Amino acid sequence: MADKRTKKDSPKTTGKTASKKTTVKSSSKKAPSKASAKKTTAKATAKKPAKKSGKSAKPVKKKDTGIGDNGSIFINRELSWLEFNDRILHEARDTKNPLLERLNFLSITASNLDEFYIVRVASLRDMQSIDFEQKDIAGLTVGEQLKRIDAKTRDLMSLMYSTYNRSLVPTLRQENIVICDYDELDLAAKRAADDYFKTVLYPILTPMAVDASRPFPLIYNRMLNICVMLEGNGIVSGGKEENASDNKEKDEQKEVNYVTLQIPNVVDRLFRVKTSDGFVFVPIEQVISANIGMLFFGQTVLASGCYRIMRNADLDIDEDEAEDLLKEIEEQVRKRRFGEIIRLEVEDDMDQALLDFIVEELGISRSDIFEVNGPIDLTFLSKVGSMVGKENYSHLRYPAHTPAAPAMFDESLENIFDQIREKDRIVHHPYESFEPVLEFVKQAATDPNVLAIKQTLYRVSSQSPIIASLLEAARNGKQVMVLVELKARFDEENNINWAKMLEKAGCHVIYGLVGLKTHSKITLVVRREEDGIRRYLHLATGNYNDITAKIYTDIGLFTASESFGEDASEFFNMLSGYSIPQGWRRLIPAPIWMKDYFVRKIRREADNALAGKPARIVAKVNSLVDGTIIKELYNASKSGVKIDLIVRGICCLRAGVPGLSENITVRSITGRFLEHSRIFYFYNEGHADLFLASADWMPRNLNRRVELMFPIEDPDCRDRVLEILEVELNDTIRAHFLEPDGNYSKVDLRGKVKLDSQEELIRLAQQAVADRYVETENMSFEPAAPVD
Amino acid sequence: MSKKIVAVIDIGSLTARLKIFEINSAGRPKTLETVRLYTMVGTRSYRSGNIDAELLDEVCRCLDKFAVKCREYRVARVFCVATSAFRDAGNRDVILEQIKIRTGFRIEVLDNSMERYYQNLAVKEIMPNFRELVSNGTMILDIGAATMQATVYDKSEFIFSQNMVLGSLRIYEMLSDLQNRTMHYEDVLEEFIAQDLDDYHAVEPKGIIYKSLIAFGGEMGFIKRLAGLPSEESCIMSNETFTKVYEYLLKTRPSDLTLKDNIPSTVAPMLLPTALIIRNMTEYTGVDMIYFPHASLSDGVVYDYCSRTCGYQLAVNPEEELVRAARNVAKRYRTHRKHIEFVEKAALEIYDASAKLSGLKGRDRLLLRLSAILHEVGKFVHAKDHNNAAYALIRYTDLIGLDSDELDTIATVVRLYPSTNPYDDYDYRHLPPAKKVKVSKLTAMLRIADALDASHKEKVKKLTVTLQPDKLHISCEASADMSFEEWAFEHRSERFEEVIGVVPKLRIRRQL
Repeated sequence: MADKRTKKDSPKTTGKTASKKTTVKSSSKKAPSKASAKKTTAKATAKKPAKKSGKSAKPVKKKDTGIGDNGSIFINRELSWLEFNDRILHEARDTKNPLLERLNFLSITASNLDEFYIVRVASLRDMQSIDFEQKDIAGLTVGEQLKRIDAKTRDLMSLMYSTYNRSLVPTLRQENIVICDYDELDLAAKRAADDYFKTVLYPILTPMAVDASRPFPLIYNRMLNICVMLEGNGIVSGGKEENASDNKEKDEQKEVNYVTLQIPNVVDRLFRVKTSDGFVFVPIEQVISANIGMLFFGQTVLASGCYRIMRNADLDIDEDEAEDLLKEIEEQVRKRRFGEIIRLEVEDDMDQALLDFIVEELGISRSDIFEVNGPIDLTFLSKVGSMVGKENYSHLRYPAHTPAAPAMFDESLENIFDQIREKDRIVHHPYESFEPVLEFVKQAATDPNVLAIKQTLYRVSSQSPIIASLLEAARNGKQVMVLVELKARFDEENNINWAKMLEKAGCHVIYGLVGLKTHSKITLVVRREEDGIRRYLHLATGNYNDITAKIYTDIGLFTASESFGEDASEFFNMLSGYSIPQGWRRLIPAPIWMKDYFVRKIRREADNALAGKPARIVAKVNSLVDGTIIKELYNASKSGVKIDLIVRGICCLRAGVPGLSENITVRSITGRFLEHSRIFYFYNEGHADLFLASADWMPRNLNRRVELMFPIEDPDCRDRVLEILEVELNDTIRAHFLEPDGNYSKVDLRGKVKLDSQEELIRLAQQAVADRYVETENMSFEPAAPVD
Repeated sequence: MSKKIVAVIDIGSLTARLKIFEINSAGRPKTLETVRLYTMVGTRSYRSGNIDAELLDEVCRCLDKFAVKCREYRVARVFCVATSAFRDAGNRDVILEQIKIRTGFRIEVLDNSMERYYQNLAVKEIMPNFRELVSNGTMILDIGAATMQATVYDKSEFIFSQNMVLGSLRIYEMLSDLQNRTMHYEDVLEEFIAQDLDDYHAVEPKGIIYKSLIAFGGEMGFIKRLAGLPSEESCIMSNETFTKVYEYLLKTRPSDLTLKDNIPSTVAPMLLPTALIIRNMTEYTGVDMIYFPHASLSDGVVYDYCSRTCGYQLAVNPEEELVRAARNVAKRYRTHRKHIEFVEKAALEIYDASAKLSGLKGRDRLLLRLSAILHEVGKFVHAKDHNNAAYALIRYTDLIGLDSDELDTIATVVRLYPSTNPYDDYDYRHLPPAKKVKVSKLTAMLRIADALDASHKEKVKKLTVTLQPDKLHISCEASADMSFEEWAFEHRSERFEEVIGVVPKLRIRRQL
């Protein structure tokens, strides 16, 4: 075959790669790649049209992207989100983290960014397309936001690839885990790769030619593709206008054909070769490229290159900003041609003509091209850990984490209902095991005294034991009511399947309230006991998902309190379409009351502070976006309330700004576990109010979702939750502090106690179990009281 | 082992409500859960006079939903009642049949008296200080969607009760087009209500000094909420606070109530009419405190059930209440108190002694007792045709706790007891067979009981009635000559023998 490996003439050794400029260019003009230089045969090496704008040769400086020094008292949420992704990337760059975990963090950074584009940027682009004039909370127009996002994303991506090329790949190599190009393989490995191509890849590849009669096929969102340029047979009669540069080749008038093929996603992205002392990995697109001639027998491959697009295809428009205009936007989107492409990623050495072809065919704006110097789509990195064997390289991973036994429960979870009835109990995942939750539903399914189980399901794992228990319960003749939220983003399909299955088994499945996502996490078990009907409740901050419960930090409360139970019944009645009650006892639901409730609580602290009483607010949320809440917090700060916020992700509040928020601190904790619990603490003149909730301080949670907040009243449970807040507020290792300018920084460790809150919480959970044993022992050795 | 769980479904004019109760070993009910659905059955049925197919569908959908809920608690018994929306619908019987076929629920349509009875019962059970309150002049306002009932208590006794077509929904419906005609809608509304209430004040007993007003029904929960009180609990409101709520309602449009105060749009327009009625009554009675018990029809139904079958002791015995009410009615029509007391006692003696033969049971004794108390009320109107006049008077008396059929039985007994040949009576001939038999038996008893004091001179000082194999032996110790009574008794005993199957024999012993 004349030239199998078109572009692979420029072997990318890691060394070389590392030396490359690690900037994601906005498709800047570049020296023709070797590939194109070598065979500028037929194609008109059209000069790229000069980039209109946005393509500053140098990446925009961080200061300028700064999350908005536009005088606003708010931070733009998109930029704040990108800051958050920066913090994840920081974990990938942190050499104190185990190597394979760092790969994982980089993978998360990449997939986060993808999701961000599909959802957030797509929404903004929609707004832009209908000339949506309104400015965001931070006073930025849609155009300004997009501009800053673009700049910041390019920074982020260049940092991601430099992390990959300069740090992760070389370090992996030291551990004999080699991620390299096809060309770097030794002969035996190459043979194995070729064999893999012939037996596995070849049969599942579908090249699609593009010509006059065959238009460019539909390219799927986020899928990796290879575009191939082939030498055709016919002669083009002066078709190309500007074949300026190269005249040396005779056959330059030769026709050129293009073919595109999707890299199959049914096989692993990496091809693995086991070596004597480790592993070698090659991205499969390289294996395909290397053998591409096999697909085009008898034709000359002139160039080939990988690309990936993101399109605004799904009508999953984010409701956050659009609000009232949502309808109009949907209308506009429908009118427009299916899925505008908002982003194209190509390898930075892609043949220029090939790129021009793709750009033209797909109708992509030049400013939406992202060139990367490494494999496109780094999400595959999370797979490396398992591909080297889960039991191997344990020194490159976090020490295995086995959740401790739930300390507030007895050793045995048998008769879990008796235990809950005795007193309220808290479980903190993943520090403590998810077992009580599973056991709660499981025992409810088989307990003959249980009459009904009601549950909200937002995201469940595949093979969910919870679903299995609910099915069993239905078979046992219990009344099972399940609210399945179909609108859970990226989980719709999964949820529809569960819903059908549950319905078939005789469960009463409902799909929530029109226009509102049901985000609350609650399970109600109605049990008929000696002394009457009793309701058992599990309320949580996180989903009923046994898999994510190993990674997400969430808190659950078990209670048999009557007033909680009555509210829970009313809550489910509301979901199933009964009229909304006039007042509840304990639970505070959104969207009807929660926001007002927060406002009242914050104002009360402010009033107390003004009256010279001590006042304090501590809140832990995933995101702080809601303008009303932020303004109330500013007011409280001005009144002298001491406010400490633990906000993992987006935070539109500016912290520590004199005259505005000098009493507010914001910290973000990132680590091996995803901080997910929501805790709210109000000092209330010493009678502290302590709440857990499923809601963040975001408009979508407070206005457009069904959420639940619940007080923690049992003294032991309160101690547990307060302990969590205390540990997190004392974190000096994992916490990033929000500075007045919108950037985040880590604490200067000098003179401070090193405290990693997640490690500490692991320790405390284990300690609690140990303490429980001590207590039991003490009890059993207690001397009998003297008989007189 | 476990407690009994029952449910009450109440299909009202505005809402359908399901309440699930757990009954403990002392027979006391406890609410487990309440759910409601806004149906607006009333709105449409009042307008058209019928329940149409669409409405029927809606009611069936509600009931299906309720059925799911009932299964959830494995409810042992469901009581399904409906009030004025069904009561006043011309096609109610066919609709009830349809509902039964489609959902399996047999709906009992309560007449006004029973509806009020259950409501009052609930209040009496749920208000801890009810007995204390009614030791002084108390007015109870039960404001329904279609009608309202004003009941008066004084010195711990039931005094009077009157029904008026002044329900919140009715008022709203009747006047809704007024809103477009006048700028002073509220004034017109006030006039409208005041005129009806004046009619009430005309018939209401005089001379009562009111100390308290108890108001319930009519979406009172929202009025409580507007006053800043818990809507789901019994509470007390000062007249001052209530006036504030009233004034707020006066100047706030229903649509604003929905927006600002989160009051369902179906309920918002009903609040002003309700407040107007209460306002009018507080002004009339001059009370300072208004009590808002959190009690519903469903509570009454379940308390009634518990007292009948689960051994629950009601705070106020409803039969005693009825007897007292009947006595008050008799007093109002200036009947001869001692004669009445004697006849009541004699009738009950006869009833009890002949119980084995008569085949009468349960409530029949009460009906006879009430008939005896009321048997001369007609004399207030006409000396000769008093029995016919009494029939009308009784039919138009609100005796809370008797259903319409029972009230009709009493009225018929009172009308027929003096008659020598009741079988000839036109109305009697049209009674259903079972009722004919019952009326005949009660009439026969009342007839001879009345004969024992035919002269109204209370000559009988001691009375014993015993059933012997061949006769019902009635022996009297008399203080005066009983010839007139003996004559009357012989005259009237023939029919007793015919319907009860035993000859009554009178034996008189003169006291010396």
